[in-house]
Amino acid sequence: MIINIIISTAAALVFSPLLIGIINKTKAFFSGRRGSPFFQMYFDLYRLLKKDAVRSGTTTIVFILAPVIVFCCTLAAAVLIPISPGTGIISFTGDFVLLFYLLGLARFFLIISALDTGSSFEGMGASREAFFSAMAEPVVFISILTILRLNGTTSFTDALGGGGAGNWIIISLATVPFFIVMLAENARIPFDDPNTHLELTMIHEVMILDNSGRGLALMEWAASIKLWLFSLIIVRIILPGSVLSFLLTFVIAVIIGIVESVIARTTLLKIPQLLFSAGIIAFLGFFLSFSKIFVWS
Amino acid sequence: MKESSLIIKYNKSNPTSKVPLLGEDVFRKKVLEMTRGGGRVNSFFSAENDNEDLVLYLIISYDARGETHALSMKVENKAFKSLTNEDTQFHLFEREIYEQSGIRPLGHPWLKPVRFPGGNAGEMDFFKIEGREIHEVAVGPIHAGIIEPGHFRFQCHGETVYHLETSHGYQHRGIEKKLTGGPYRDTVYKMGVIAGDSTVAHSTAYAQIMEAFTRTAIPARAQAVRAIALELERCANHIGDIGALSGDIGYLSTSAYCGRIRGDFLNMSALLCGNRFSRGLVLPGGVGADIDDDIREQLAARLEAGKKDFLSAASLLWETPSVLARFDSTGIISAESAERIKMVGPAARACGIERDVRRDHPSGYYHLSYIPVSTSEMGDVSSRAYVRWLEVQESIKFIEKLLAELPVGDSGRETGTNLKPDSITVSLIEGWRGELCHTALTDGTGRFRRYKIVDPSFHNWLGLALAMRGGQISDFPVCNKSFNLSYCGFDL
Amino acid sequence: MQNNLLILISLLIILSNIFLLGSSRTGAMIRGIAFQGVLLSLLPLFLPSESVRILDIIILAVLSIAIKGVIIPHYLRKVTRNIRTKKELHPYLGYSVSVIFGLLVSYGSFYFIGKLPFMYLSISPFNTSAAFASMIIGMFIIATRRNIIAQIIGYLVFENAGFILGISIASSQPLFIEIGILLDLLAGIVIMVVAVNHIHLYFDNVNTDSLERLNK
Repeated sequence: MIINIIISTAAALVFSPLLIGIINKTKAFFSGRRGSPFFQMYFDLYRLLKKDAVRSGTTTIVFILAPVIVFCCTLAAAVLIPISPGTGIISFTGDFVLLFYLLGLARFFLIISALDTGSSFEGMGASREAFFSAMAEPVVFISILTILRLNGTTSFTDALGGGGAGNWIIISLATVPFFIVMLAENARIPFDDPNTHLELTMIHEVMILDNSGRGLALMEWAASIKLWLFSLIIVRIILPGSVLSFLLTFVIAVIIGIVESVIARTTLLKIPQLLFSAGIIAFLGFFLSFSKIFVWS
Repeated sequence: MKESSLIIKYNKSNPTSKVPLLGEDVFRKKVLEMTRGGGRVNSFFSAENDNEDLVLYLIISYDARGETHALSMKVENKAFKSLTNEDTQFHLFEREIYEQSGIRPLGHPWLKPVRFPGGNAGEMDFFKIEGREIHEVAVGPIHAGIIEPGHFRFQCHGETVYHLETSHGYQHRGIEKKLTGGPYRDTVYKMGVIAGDSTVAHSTAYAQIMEAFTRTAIPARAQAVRAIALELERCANHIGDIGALSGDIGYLSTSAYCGRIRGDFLNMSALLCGNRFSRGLVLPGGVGADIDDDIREQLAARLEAGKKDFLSAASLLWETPSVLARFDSTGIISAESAERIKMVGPAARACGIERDVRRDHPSGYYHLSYIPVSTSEMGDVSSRAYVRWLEVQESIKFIEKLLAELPVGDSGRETGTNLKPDSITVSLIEGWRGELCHTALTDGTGRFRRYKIVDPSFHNWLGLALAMRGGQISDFPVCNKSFNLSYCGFDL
Repeated sequence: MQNNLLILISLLIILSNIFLLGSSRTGAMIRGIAFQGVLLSLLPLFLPSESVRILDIIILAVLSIAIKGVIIPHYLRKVTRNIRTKKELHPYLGYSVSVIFGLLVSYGSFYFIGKLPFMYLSISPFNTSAAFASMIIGMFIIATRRNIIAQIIGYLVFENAGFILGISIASSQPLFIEIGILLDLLAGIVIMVVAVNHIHLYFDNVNTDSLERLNK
């Protein structure tokens, strides 16, 4: 049990910045550049953690605490996902609610810390984040319900090891929307552009504009852990049996990089439409998991 | 009735005494008559005459006829009745007159300086919308990217922009004032940096003014080199803009490649004259560097390669649905609004307005060689990008043609320093942003009494504000980039 | 295994229908219909080999890939490029409503097809239900879109449904009839493309609302 916790925590902390490096390298490759090194984010985190933080005069204790809370909640959520079969820490009915509400708590503190700065940009970012995540959450839950149903269990961590009775079509109907939501939740293109400097267009990045030094490091690290968490869930859904399946998260990172290279960012007005389409696919999977004539042979 | 306006002859000096000096009422009647008949104000400014009386000069042109007229008005009591309420195109010009000379346009709807006279940068009242749910967003003058300083004030309701007001002056260098009493030895260098990305356009306008005042006819070869440099400048900037637009929407391949190709085109300018921004290429009397056969071949080869790269990198934009979906219907400005505020350049052509100085008021080599006007219809970001894409191709074709038929001859003449006294001349050039207008008046000793510069950005900033109305605030960066107006060209 | 592939193809057909319902750009729609065309063309390969000649199957598959996957999309792309319909025309029903409609219709046809008596004819009941859903969705697209290209695509979706049904009852109908229908379809599309060009010439847009009034 303790060993499992240590392994999960270490994996989340160590591997998550690498995902960002892989995405950036893939994007650089597609645009004909050399790109920053794979381990750039580790250097950045090291540099930021050494630095002191500068704080705006309008902020309160909320702003100081938020990076720590965001980081801890995200890490706690990530630790709940077993990285290989049989390493689950807890499993009970409706454990996915705990998982996503830990993320929800992190988001809540991220949003109020952005509002705490009193900047009009950060207020806009916070309102966008709140709106779009409210649209993304139902999609996640529908996908997860489909997976739970296929595995005939009510515990998500158990379902991740179950493999969905090999019903590939329905699994992919649950995974594809989950992937789309992952892009939305982790501020990737087409929902948000992690590389942009245009504060008026940002969603996630604009909320951490005022953070610096250690606070910024924790926020960035938490964001990469969230990406790790989502890709680990996808990997564990697709390849439940293998011990080394977590290595596939790097493939997921490459896929994200490719997606970001070949499509442009959408306008904010169309984001609900995109999440809606993801929801439709998730619903289709959910319906089919009930359908009688859908017999997999 | 006596002709009540003077038709300016391009490339010739015109005696200032021939510009009719009208009383306010006659001037007002005449001007409104002209603008209703399709006249477009190129420049409207104040100057002092010999008796230190303030006189307003108006340069107005008819694009369809290719004519430019000048007329002037005597100002009494430092005030006149504002024309803005009758015709919106006077709006900024009257505010500028108020700022520069203190003459008050009576009844102007929004009278305040366009820059910050007296050095109190940033002090400015903004138009405000009242209401509990309206919030104000202030952007700049310091921006996140490496761009010039300028302030934008949005009045928003949620994500929707109700009103945008731009405020400039952070780059004010007092160029016009420093030119008074000139030309000096450094004037030509100042012209190169009015707007650093439009060096050829502004230098050519200045060179044409000097040539008009000194009655120098410059050789065709020099004119051809100027045209090549101007089109290279256009290509480099348009390609850079297309790249930056795709960067703003997170479309990486076109962004990265166009950034490099822009560099290739800047290097072609460097091949011509040794400077990537063509500083010092265009001089009064001719050009500072000639094209020999070696350069010509190299340039043709590089142009061919640059064209191929550009076509493959930029055509990706028009084939990717997500890019088109992002660009289409973003930042629309209707043709009526664009026509009402008399926008210029690619931004106007993107609304379907066929306005191009190279065709309507040709000078230099554009007399001899025609370049087609590229337009689009929708007036959105997509159209502005598309017009640029078309113009780059036309420009490359034009340069190729010019390189093949480069006239023989020498590359310049001495202009001398004897400027014709008491004269006025106007120079119109189509820079890559649009029409720029230089007007110069000489005094009795042949020195500049007044040198007035109007950058295309002066006409178009209001267009950006109108394009944002009713749009999404998150669309502002891409919309701003699609106009890509100059801050320092406006601030002077 | 064969059955699984058939189910996969049917699902992809349904998803491409939903994609067509949800996309506003003609370029994306043309890609969607080309994808659907290629998917359909794979269906004959799954016919039980005792009922039809293998050569017929191969000819049909190759021909329909060529026509539905390459030639027709190519023509459509060409006509959109000619008329440059850049403006999105708002449909009579919003995209989200259309997508929900598509989802309900697809699920409904899954449900009802199991209760119909002729399902024993088909290669898989799944294909039949996908075909029924496509038929309704095709008509829906024709009815709710203003853009003429989108309407042509709706017609193609409808035709694709007919193709699937034809394959489903292939054992009782010679395949060359299918081939004949394919060629008819091609001719139909060519005529439509020519018509669209003319409409654009007269009205300067392809909004079918303009056709309500007679043009002199």
